This record gives sequence, structure tokens and C-alpha cells, in this order.
Amino acid sequence: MHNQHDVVLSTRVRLARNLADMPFVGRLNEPGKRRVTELARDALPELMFVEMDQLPRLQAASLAERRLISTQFAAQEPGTALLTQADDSIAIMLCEEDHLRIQALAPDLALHDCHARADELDNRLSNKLNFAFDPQLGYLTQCPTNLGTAMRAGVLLHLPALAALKRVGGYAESISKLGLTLRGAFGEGSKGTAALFQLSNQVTLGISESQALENLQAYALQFAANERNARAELLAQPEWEDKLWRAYGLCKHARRMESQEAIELLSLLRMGACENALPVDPQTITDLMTNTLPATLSVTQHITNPDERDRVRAEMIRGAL
Amino acid sequence: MNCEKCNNHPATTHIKRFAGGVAEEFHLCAACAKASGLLSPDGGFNLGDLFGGLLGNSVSQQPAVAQSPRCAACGLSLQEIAQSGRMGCAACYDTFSAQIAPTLQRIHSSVQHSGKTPEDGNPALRERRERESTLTQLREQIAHAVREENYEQAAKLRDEIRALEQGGGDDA
Repeated sequence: MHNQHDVVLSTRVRLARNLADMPFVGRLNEPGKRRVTELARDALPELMFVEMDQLPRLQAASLAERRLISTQFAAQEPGTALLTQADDSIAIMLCEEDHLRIQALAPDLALHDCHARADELDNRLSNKLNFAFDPQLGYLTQCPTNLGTAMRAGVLLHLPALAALKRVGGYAESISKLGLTLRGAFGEGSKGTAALFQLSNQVTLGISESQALENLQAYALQFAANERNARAELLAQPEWEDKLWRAYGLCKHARRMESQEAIELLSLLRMGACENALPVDPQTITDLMTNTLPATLSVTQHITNPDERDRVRAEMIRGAL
Repeated sequence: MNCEKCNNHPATTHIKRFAGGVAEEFHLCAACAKASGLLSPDGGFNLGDLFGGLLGNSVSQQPAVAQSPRCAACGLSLQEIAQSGRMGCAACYDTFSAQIAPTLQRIHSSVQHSGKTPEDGNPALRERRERESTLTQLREQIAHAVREENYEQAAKLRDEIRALEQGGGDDA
């Protein structure tokens, strides 16, 4: 389902798979890891194969900022590799926590589309590779919390109004009853920086992929509806109207801007843009939220000096507005 | 109430968790809660380490299990699994199935997989698996028939196995 983009930034579905006849990643030495990555590469020859330790550090960090890989994977352990596609819609992490973590990504709320694409890759891989599977425990994973479907599906939510009204925490209990979890989008247990939250399924054993996706879909829609109501409530307050325009003014005129300030201001601008309270295009702001992150900005603008980075960031935001 | 894990200090960290509609409670002292990795650095709940923490708890409560064997395939012991919260290989799940079952039950809503199998969306694999399992059954039956000196039946089974092995599985 699309057109939830005012609240749902993106969707990601990840399937963990392990080869039956190899030790899990934690017990594999570097040649063993390379063997796994080569098997996966040969099974999907049309994808780009990138050995992580061959990648410049900032490019690896940028992949993590764009949510194509985990921050753990951006540490570029020797033997790990990535299979990907130029349009950023597929990213298969090889020898991260499991031998393969097949990920399909898309903007907006697109759980079924992402699952279908990850599933198709899984089918093609399982034609060539023998995945560890147990009829009772499902797909076997290094960490038993992922057993079963070994599927982690998640949506990235922008909840500035619910966060401002301190209502996000109130959902935690009902979310967990459905086997779902909500956390700050910048790493496990992090506070919601810029009001970005990751809603994902937690329970993987005893619940089918389609059930988990339905629960997630229902909750994402519920969040979207509640966030819209909260935005209307918030923006009716004169001090919030003022706050949005001040953020707009800063973005439009600032000459230097640090990453943290930018993401917080852009979060406000995005809410204003989606609610037609500010004269800016929502997609422009959504793109800026990713493109002004430190590593991504450095890679795309060829910046080496952090000082330079803050100046270029402000310039980029001014230009876009 | 004393800590569920060390039983020496008062339980000051109380964790309540809902999985599949079932409520679970854990009562730990501050030191054990910290050591178990149940909490992430900012005090949040870290599910990635939950398994190791809970398994460690159940292992330390059962001294007999402490001498359990190592996984024949990868050499990992149950203690090492409890420490890291990670299994060593697919065979670990077989080796330690009895010891990890209660912990799995606590983490997940059920211990019966419901969802995709490798055969789904892969008919060739399904056919191959089914043929292998039929062949295994037929070989057991033929051994039984021979023991019973039922050679007529054994000959019939032998022909069925041959037909299956040559790929014509229809009359099996």
C-alpha cells in the first residue's frame, strides 16, 4: 500500500538464511566467510558484489546512513560482502550475523512488495544453496531470537507530532502484544532522533510471514492516522506554527549547519511540508534528510574536511529551498 | 524477593515482556541484569542478548546440565552459547534441543514454525525431498521384509526403489 509517505518514509524486509553445512558466522574464519560470500555471489550473478573491506570507509558509512546495511556491517570486517543493485532496492549482507541477510527496500509503506522481492531472491538462492532448516524451528539462525521465518520486516516512521505530544511510548504495550517492536531509528535502544522510529516484527517463531506482515501493516496504518491527527492538533497551536517558520528561516539562511541540527530542523520542515503549513515540497525535505547525513554528504560532495561539511550542508539545504 | 539468577541480592530490576499475547516477568538484581545483557546501555531492553541471559539462568539452575557435551559439528558448549547468546552451527540446535527448548518458548510465542519452508516456491526441491523420504521408507521396508524372509515383498520393493531412483516416481 502506497501513499502513506507523509508518515512512512520507507519499508525494509529482511530474511536471514544460513548454509546447512557451514558453521555460523561467529565460528567462521576469514577464508570460511569468503567461501560463503562467493557461493552467494555465484548464485546471483546479476547483482553487484562488493567486498566490504575493499570499500572506502565513508562509502560504507553512507550505506548504513541510507539503511542499506547495519551499522555493525559498516565496520567492514574482512570476509564480509554486499550484493546490491544500483537503485538501492536490494541489499544482501553476506556474513553479517547470518550467512545471508536478504533485504528488499522501498520508499513509503510497501511491505508486501518488499516481501515478494526478498522471497523471490530466497527462492532463487535456495535452488542453488542448501539452507539450514528444521521443520519445527524453521530457518535456523545464529541468534535464536530470529528462528522460524527469520524475517524482520520494518517500516521507518516519521512521528514528530506524536513525539512532541509524548504519546509514542503509550503504544509500546499494545505493540508488543502483536509481536511487534518500536524503537528509535538510529540503532537499538536509541532515542528517536528527529522523531524517526523503526516499527518492526519481533516474534519470528510460530507466526507466518503473512500474519506478521498483516500485523505490521495494520499498526503502520494506525500510526499514520494517529500521527496525522496529532499534527493537526499541534499545528493549531500558534507557538508550533511559529516554531515551524523559525525552522524554515534557519534552513533558508544559515551559512553553516551541523548534522544534528539539520536533522532536527528538517524533521520539523518535513511535518510542515506534509501538512501544507510551509511552502516546501515534502519529497525535497525527505531527500535532504538522507543526503545531508555526514558520510553520505561527504561521499556525494567529495568532502574530506568536517569543517567544510557543515558549510556545504547549509548551502545544500538553502539551495533546495 | 531475591534475584532469579544469583539468589543472593534483592531483585531490583523487573522486566515485563509480552510475546504473542503472553506476559513474561523477569526479576533480577542490578548486577545480574547488567551482566546478563538484558539491558542495553541506555537502560532499554535488548532482545538480541535476551536468549543468552535466559539460557544462562536456566543452565546455572541445573548443575547436571553444566557437564553437557559439546556440539559434535562445531565444538561449542552450552555455557559458551549462554555467554554469547549465539549458536555455533545448525547442528547445535539438534545437540542442545532439550536444554534450549524452555528458553525458546519464553522468547517466541510458540516453538512450532509456521511459515515458509525451503520447498515453497521451489517445486524441484520439494520433489527431490519427497523422493528421498519415500526412498528412505522403502529401504526400511525392504530391510524388514528381508528379516522376515518375505522375499516376494522384498523383490517388489526393490523394483519400486529402482523405478524411483531412475526418476520415475509416479507408481511409488
